[in-house]
Amino acid sequence: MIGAWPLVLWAALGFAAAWSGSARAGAYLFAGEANGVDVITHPRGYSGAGGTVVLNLCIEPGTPNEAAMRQSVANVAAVYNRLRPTIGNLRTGLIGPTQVDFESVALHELGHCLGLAHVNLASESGLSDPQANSTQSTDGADNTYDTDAGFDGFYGSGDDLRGDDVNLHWFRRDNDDPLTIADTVDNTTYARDTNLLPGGHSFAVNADRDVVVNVLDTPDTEAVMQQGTYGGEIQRHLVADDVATIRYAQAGLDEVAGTGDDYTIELRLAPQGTTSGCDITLDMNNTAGLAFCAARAASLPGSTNHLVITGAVMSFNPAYNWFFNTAGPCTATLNVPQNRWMQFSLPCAVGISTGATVADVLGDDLAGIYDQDWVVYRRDAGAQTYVKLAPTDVLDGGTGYWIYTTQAGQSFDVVGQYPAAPEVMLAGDGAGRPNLIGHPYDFSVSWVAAQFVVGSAVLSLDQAVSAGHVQRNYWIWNGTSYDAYDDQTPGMVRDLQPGDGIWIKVLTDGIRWRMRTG
Amino acid sequence: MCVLRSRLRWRAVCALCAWLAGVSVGWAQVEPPEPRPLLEYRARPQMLADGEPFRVAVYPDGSVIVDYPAHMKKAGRYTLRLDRAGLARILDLARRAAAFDAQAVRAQVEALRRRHVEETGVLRYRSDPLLETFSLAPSLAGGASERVLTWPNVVQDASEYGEIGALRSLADLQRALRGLAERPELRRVRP
Repeated sequence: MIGAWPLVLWAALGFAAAWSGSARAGAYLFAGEANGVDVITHPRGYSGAGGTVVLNLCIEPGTPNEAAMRQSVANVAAVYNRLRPTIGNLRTGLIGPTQVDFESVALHELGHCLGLAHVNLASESGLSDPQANSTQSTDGADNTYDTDAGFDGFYGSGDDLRGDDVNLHWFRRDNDDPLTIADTVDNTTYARDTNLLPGGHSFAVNADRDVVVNVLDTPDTEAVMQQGTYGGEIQRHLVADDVATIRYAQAGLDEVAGTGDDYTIELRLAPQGTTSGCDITLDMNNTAGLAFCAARAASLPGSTNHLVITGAVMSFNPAYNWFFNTAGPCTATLNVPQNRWMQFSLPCAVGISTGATVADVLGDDLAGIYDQDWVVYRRDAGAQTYVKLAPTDVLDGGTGYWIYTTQAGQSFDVVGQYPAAPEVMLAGDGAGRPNLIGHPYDFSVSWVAAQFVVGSAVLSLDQAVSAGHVQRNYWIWNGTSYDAYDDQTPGMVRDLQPGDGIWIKVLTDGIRWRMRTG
Repeated sequence: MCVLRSRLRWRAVCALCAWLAGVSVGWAQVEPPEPRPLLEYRARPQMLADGEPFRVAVYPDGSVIVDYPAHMKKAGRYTLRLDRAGLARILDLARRAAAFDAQAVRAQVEALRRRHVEETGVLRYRSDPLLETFSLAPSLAGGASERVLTWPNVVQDASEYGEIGALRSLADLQRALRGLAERPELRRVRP
């Protein structure tokens, strides 16, 4: 076991610990040669006992842009509370090319303040790109990072040759794919030791944008904890790797999920002007390069390799041309015909800055009384039944719905954040069970961009069809009947449109669907 | 005869070269090549993946060029002129900082960090640093060649590890150079 953590013992004995501080941070802050490569760092407030860890986020009163920051900080808190893995989380063209998205940077820095380190070697290694995109590690006995991109030529992928560098990036044991997540995240499904990598992999993969598009065939996607943002780019949703790293820590001291020391986190934005009871404080001051998280940590009693954050601040430099997000940058209006069924999906992400229930999304726009004048259904493919939603039921991206109204001239607005694509669980059987899914984006995408996660494998549409997991066709309700498409036969080609509900037939139970951006 | 013709050809070539040089000089006057600065400071936030660094350059005649990169509110190139005393002050700070030995300072920082951990049991972390680079002309570096000093988060580390004189000197220089970029007499010369 490499992970003996000598700090507490050495400190207690008064010996000099070979501590290298932030210079050797790992997938968890403070993991490294000095403190132990198996260090797991938990958010402030975790004591080793299970339950909910509540973290108050405070914005320093009077700091520049105090009011403008609030919506983004609230959004970031909601994203970490939801812990939803997505793909397609990189977007450009939505803010000015020289603007820096405050919310995206805050999402990254808050990850640090919760205990996460960079997934790549990053600038603390002293390396430059592309070598700095190699997966997070120590520099090994030779005190030099060994970076060899391997046969595929991409630093940070599974065939990297890393010499004596010791991996610090926790990976999914059955596939080493940072864009997928196991149902259970703990030491039975994730590991740091490269001896437990799947066959053919020599080092852990990190969700660097170049790796995921070129090796994992998934564009516009990157782990939030990969260092670096570009002007004009937004990245406001987590990917599976970000979620898995947090959930692994949440398995507690025993690193086994489902036991008494497990915890969840609940981030709350404190009221304006709050200065006490703050767990993480944000401010704007010119000591920041662009932005940073400064954190302190101490050992958790009774543990050899678990640390807890004891204090954290996030600072942002006000001299930069920050873009501050709003509650509803993504809006779409869907018209509902009178006395006819209509299928729809959500083109914007609700449940972050705006409500996500039927009442929140539809009830504020549609005339009449719910369940008398209008109604919404979803399909439960597992039970093969329709389910009438209650006004308090939550709507979600990637799902298709039916709506019906008796009222004329009705429409509703979907207002929320720019979306990324979630994974959607499908039900299947040998006959091809119909599943009602929803186009997850606010822009058009060809159906051939669909991916299917089967066990630990990610398949393209062609692969999933060939392997007999899904049928290639999909069906769109045109108001009176279904139109069939397959995106290859002349006359059956049509890009998925924002707001589309989509029927597909699934032949294998328990597989997942997700949509690439193209 | 043969020699004479050769000389005439040579003169013609020289005249052509001179004319071309004149044209070239004329064009260059539109955007004159910058002389090498005595002192240059570059700062690049490691969290920002694109764009140019923030830059302050001090020239022998006291002129200063400040480049704010495109992602900053003040994006553009600015100039100002230091008086003799102002230039001397900056250059004196640079000479004091010139002895900065990053490897030695790193070792001192590590020792102090270790001591802090031993005494308190508390680990400290700071993400996504500002990488700061100082280039000193040979006349300032006290040697035959330019000296380049690089350190992340100079002022923060100088504050945290105040015992390290070399860090304090570098921080003094950093503050002075960054202070130039805040001077009211800065004149914007390029967007």
